[in-house]
Amino acid sequence: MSPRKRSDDERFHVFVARSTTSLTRLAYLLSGDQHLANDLVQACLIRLYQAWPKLHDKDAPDAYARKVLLRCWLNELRRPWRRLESRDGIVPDRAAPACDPIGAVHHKEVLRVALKRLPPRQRAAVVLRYWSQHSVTETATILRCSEGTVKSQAARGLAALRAALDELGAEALEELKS
Amino acid sequence: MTDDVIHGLALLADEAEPAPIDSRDVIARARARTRNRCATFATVLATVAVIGSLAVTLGLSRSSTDVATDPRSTEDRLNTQMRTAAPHVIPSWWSWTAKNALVFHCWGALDGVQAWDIDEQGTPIIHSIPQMCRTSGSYSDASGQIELGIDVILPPGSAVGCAAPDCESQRLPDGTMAWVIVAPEPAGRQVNQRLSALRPDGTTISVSLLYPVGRPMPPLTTDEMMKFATVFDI
Repeated sequence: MSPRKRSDDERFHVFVARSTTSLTRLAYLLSGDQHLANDLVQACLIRLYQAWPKLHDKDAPDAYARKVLLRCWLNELRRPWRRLESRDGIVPDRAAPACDPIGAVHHKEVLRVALKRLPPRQRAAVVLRYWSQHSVTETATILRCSEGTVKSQAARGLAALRAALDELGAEALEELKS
Repeated sequence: MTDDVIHGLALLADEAEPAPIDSRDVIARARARTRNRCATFATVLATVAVIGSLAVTLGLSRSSTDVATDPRSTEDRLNTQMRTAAPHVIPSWWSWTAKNALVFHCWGALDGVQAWDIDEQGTPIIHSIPQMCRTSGSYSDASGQIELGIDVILPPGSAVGCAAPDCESQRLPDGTMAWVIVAPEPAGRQVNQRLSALRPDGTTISVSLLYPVGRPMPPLTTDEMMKFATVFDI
């Protein structure tokens, strides 16, 4: 192996160690499925390594990795067998904590369901803008669309999430009253 | 306004448990995928190349066969050969008559048209009909009228030969076998000076000169008749 290739590989090892967690979280927010998120991250890293020698700015491959991850997820959604599969329930991996004073579990569940109801690109716009904290321009670059589209998608997605959370608040208020 | 959503997303994201990923395994898989892709690309390229070369080969052979089997192209070729050879094989002292044209007309296909027939026992028989071309012309010289007829049978033609004792045969330098015979016609009013030739490519040539009985000499000598043997080929 040439020294250059060895150096590239070393950088890749470092990148994997550093970015796996953030990529998995992004994949989880996009897909809403822990196992699928892990698969997406692996597929993303494989693709990233194939393009690794062509990455000009090797010090900041994170944005490119997010772009690849998003493509992997969108491609996964387009797969025919993905359309045939439907999950009709969420099996909790962990038991809910006994004490949940602020209703965090319920809050997350509502958000998860609301996020899942969003169309894929709207969901991606919301996650990239409000969780990854990307600017409109960066989000537009990752999504390969115009900034106006990002703004409208993010606004619609945000409105849907807020409506879901407001509904949750109203329900909580009803419970308190009763 | 968006703090609740941002907070909720952060809480949700914290749920994700990253699976331990071995970067060496990722590299190995990526390399294997690259290798597979290269192999697939090479296979596709090789397949396209093979199919392309086959198509080109078949196309070329078909186009050459089409040209060869087309009776019209055969006529053109034979007429060209006839025009080129005419000054050498037809004596200059022969005068043309009005109906002389020496233009070939062909029928059948070069690769042999198969025709079905039924024999006396009811068994089907397959005949291979070769492509045949014919031309004729009327000439006259000082000794009288001469009817020239030329038949060219393209391969696979019928076997030719001459079993008569007065048949003059020659093997020409290019491998053509030729026979010349002079015999009276059955009606007894005309004599037929006939050349039969088999070219090395299988082309059969038959030239006949019909002239009235009583003519002192045949219109052409044997050597002059032999010249017709090498005029036509595929």
